[in-house]
Amino acid sequence: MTQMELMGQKPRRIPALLKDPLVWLIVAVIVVGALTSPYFLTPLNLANTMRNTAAIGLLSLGMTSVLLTGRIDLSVAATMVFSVILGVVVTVEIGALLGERWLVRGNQFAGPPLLVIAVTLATGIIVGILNGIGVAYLKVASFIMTLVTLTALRGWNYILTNGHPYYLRGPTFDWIGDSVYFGFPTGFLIFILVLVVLLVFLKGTVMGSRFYAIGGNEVATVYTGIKTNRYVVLAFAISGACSALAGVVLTSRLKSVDAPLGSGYELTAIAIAVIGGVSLAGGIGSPVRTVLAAILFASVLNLFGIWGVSTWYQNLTIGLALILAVGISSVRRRILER
Amino acid sequence: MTQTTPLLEVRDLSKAFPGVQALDNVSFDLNAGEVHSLIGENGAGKSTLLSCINGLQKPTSGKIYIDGRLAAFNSPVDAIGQRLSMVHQELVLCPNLTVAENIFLGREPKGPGGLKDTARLERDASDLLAQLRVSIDPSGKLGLLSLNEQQIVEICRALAADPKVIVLDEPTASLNDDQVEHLLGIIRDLKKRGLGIVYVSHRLNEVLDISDRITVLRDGQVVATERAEGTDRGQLVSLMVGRERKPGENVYSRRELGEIVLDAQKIGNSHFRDVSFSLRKGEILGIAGLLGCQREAVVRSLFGAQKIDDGKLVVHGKIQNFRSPHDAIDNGIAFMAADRKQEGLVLNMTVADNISLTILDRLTAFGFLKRGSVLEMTRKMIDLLAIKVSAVTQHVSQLSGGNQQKVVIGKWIARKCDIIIAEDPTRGVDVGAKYEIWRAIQSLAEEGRAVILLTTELEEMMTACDRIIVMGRGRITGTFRRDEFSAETIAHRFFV
Repeated sequence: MTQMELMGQKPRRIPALLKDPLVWLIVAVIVVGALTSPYFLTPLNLANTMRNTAAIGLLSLGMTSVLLTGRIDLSVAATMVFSVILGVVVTVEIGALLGERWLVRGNQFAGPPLLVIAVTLATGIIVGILNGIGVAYLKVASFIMTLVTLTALRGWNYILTNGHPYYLRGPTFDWIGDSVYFGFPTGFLIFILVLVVLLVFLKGTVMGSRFYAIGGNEVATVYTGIKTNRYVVLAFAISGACSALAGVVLTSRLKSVDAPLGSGYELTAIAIAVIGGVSLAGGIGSPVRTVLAAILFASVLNLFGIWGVSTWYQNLTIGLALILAVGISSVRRRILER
Repeated sequence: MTQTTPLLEVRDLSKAFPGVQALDNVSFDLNAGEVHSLIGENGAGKSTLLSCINGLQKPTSGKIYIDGRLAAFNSPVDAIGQRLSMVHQELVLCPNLTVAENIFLGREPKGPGGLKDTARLERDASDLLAQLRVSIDPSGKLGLLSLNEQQIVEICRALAADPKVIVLDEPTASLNDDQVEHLLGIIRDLKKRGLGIVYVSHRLNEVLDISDRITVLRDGQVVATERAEGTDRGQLVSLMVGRERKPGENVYSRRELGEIVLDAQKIGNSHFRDVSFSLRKGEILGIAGLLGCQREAVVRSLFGAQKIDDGKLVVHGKIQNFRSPHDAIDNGIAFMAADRKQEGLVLNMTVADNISLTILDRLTAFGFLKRGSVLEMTRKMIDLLAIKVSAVTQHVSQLSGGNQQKVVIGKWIARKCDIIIAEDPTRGVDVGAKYEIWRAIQSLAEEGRAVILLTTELEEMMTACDRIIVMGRGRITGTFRRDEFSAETIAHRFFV
């Protein structure tokens, strides 16, 4: 990736994409999948793979924006679940105030879904901003800050749900979770939309390029008079928003949300970002390649599922892939520095 | 050239740090179209003066005027706003961004909706680069450029703010001769355009070549401001080092030197090359040099903390290639780091714990620490070095700087190593403690250990050492026996 980025990719974007090993790995997985299973290429399986890609990919995109500034966000999965749960709980409370009748007891939920989604997104952004303030202004190491957030939110999830799941029913959730346009599920289209927005922001705008500057050399960026703290908060806010959106996409598909949902997804998100070439030291990475890595990851896990490999081995694979990706990227950095 | 109001004027600037007067009533001025150099030994106050001019530090007293107007900088951004740009000694650039992005970082041209206007950015950058007559691709990644080119980008960045005053802090420290010539050409161009340039460098030839006036700093004071014409290296060097000797520090006594214990034969790595010297039992060898002369790299390679790529290192008659400090310690080499708090001591442990840290294996029985032996050895060491402690169980963090340093020395005496590398052992300690530390190092040599000494103060080195090697830009530029010591002749070799 560095080779390509260093040569400047503007004039030949499509050929450059074809040279990307990630693209070839995805092709390889599809070929192997098609050869080993009659189900792999069915529209249903492809749609499911894309839905899985969407949720985990959204987390990875948020992670990418934070990693670019040289920080890390461990709270993405906890924020994802917390945002949805808080969305449901707040909607229930407001409904009760308005004297409307809500089907929430028995853990059935049927409030106005748009309100749930709005509260969910706001919650994600606020959690992100709080993380960002802690990291940028209070100078808490991002690893510690977001680990604390992770732990606290996981606990709060249980308090809010009392340990039982909420069931999300209704046409809006069905639309996000189930409908398919030209073979693409709605969740996946939302994911691609977020990618486009983030791509324009990071690569196209002056503000977005500051993320790269901060990750490249924070001291140099401060010396030029840029208020780096604001950008760090913004990066975490983007991560929070992506997490909340991932929560909406995931729970709409599952039609329910409960406290332990998605534990460990933060590591998967880091793994995907790093496999996509985002540097843990900051300053290097592209959201496009994060998305490619997310597609690759989800396809491999889907294939494992078809083959009947147990989740234990799947987790082992995630761990090994992460170690490998981090190892390769740090070796590559040392070679580049020489 | 106008002689009306100077572009930059520093009047009676003082800056005090706890225990140190870094700047003492420094006055300095700079006219348009002039290069005014600042020189001085390490610790003379150059960096502090630059930090004050640039707004990184606040002076204790004194005023800075720009164009005759009083300026108060709280940060480098304020300084840039007043059209004063600084080119830092170590490059502060983003290697992952393009050349153009680096040059205009913080003041990029914005298109509609905050979109990047890459085309204009690169056009503006080419204009600036062309002004300096260099061919650097503005769309290339900065990290792929050579150090010299990065330095030029850094200067372009300073120029992008359209400054009246440019401060260049050691811009040639990492450049070779051709590159220096190129850079000096650029500076002459800037001068012709009427900019005022403050130039800081250790390389006197360059300074004499480029400057209109030269100000010499010593111990935080301006010693002299001379016109460059009509002055020469000899005069500058004697102004820099001064002549008076400090009394009461002479602890030197002649010793019999023994056999060669360490012999470096043309060793080198990416930081230094062709370094050869030998060290005898009971000898104190000083390595002198200014910032960037790479003597730190040489001693770290002797200690196995850096790799030696070329040449041979013979320790106790055997060719060695240390792969880690652990190997070096096993061969009797000790390293007392300058930064004792970071590298030398465990501050929140007791005096006894620290002294016994390097020899724990000799103080244990069946894996348990023999408390009695530890305390006994610590008491011996405290007596020997006259360390002032309230109890052996006192925490090292509560000791004064001088006593902390003595604990570090005690640690290595206890270790019974026979080659000791001491880096700035008197940094940040008061005069009385300095004397005792020199005394302790002397007694190490008297016991037959060999000592390699690095200090920032040449005077101190001259009182303590049997022999001094001078380094400049990664190679040895001179060797002096004790009877040949003279601050001026040694300092001359700094600039070769």
